[in-house]
Amino acid sequence: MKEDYLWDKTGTDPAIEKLENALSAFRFDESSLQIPVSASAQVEGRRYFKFLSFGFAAAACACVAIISWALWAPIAGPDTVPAPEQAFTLPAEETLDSVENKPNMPVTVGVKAPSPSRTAGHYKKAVKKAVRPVTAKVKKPAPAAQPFTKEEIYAYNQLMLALSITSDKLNLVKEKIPGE
Amino acid sequence: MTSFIKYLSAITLLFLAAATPAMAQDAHLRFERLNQLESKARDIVEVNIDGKLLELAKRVMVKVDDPNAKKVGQAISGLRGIYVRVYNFEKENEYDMTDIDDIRNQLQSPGWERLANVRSKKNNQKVDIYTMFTGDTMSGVAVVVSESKTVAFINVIGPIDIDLLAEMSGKMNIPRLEIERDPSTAKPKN
Repeated sequence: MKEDYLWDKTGTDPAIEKLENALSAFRFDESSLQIPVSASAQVEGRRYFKFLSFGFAAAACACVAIISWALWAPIAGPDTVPAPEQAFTLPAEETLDSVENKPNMPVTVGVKAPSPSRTAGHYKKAVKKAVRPVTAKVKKPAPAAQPFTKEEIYAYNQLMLALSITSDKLNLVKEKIPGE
Repeated sequence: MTSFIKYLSAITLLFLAAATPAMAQDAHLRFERLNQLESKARDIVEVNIDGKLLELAKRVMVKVDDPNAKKVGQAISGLRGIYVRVYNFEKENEYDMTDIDDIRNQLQSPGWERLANVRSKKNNQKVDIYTMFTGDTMSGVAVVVSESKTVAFINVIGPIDIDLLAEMSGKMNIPRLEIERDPSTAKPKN
C-alpha cells in the first residue's frame, strides 16, 4: 500500500482503489441533496397550523373582551360609561352649583384662553389648563327606590286612565242600582 | 297502532293549543266601525292596552309602593287587554243611536250576557254592562254608555274584579276622571 495514493491520490494502489469502488455507493454527492417533498409539506402544515392557532387565540381574546364588557357595562351603569349625548359643556354663565341639580352628568368646564398681552410663562400655564378639561364631581342623587323607564310610566299611565274610565262608568251603574 | 295514537294525540294537542287563544279572543269587540262617531265627536279618548304594554304596566304596579296600586294590581292580575273609546260631543244628541248599533249587535252574539242596564231620563243616560264567561272564569267585560253628549265603550279581556275596580274610583294615582279633559294618548318619544 502506497501512502501517497491514500494521501493525495498520486500514483496507483489497487487495494485502495478496490476498496473505493466497493464503497462508491456511499460516496458523498452534493447535487443529490434535496429536501423530500413530504418534509416541506410538513413545514407548510406547521406554518398554517400556527397561523390558525393565532387566529383562534385572537378570536378567543376578542370574545372574552366582548363578554367582559357586556357583563361589566350594565353593572357599572351610565355613570362610568357616559353616553356621548349625555355629556354637555357648561355655558359661560352657568355655575357648578347649578350643575349639581343635573344628576349623572359628567361635567366639562371650558377655560377661557388667556389674552395675548400675557407673558409666555402665563401663556403656557394657561394653555395647559385649557387643554386639560376640569372635571367637576357632581353629587350623585340618592338612587330612586323605583326607577321606571319611560315606556313603563307611559304604560302605567295608560292603564290607569283606562281603569279610571272603567271604574267611573261602573260606578254609574252602582249608584243607580239599589243594594249594589 | 301505538304510533298512530301518538300522532293523533299530538295533533289533538296542537289543535287545542291553537284553538284556546282563538276562543279567548271572542270577548274582543271590534271598534273599527265607529267612524261616524269619530267624525262627529269634539273630543275622543282612545286607550288600547294589551300585550307588552300591559305587561309593563303590571310590572310598574307591582313595584309601586302604594296599597291602592297593589289592590288594583290584584284585581287586574289576569287581565289580557283593555280597550276604551270615549266620544264627547259639542251639542246634545249630535250622534245617532244607529252609530253605536254595531257594538250593541256584537254584544248580542252568543257568550255575552247582560249583567246590568240603567236607563235614566237625566241626560238621556243608558248604561249596559255585559260579561262573558268561559266555564266559571270571566273572560270579558263590556260597558256601553250613551248620554246626551257622551258615548263610551269599554272592553276588558280576561278576568277582572268589577266590584273592587268600582271601589277604587278616585283612589288610584290618577285623580277621578273628568271625561271632558284632553286625551293623553301621545306616545313617549324614545
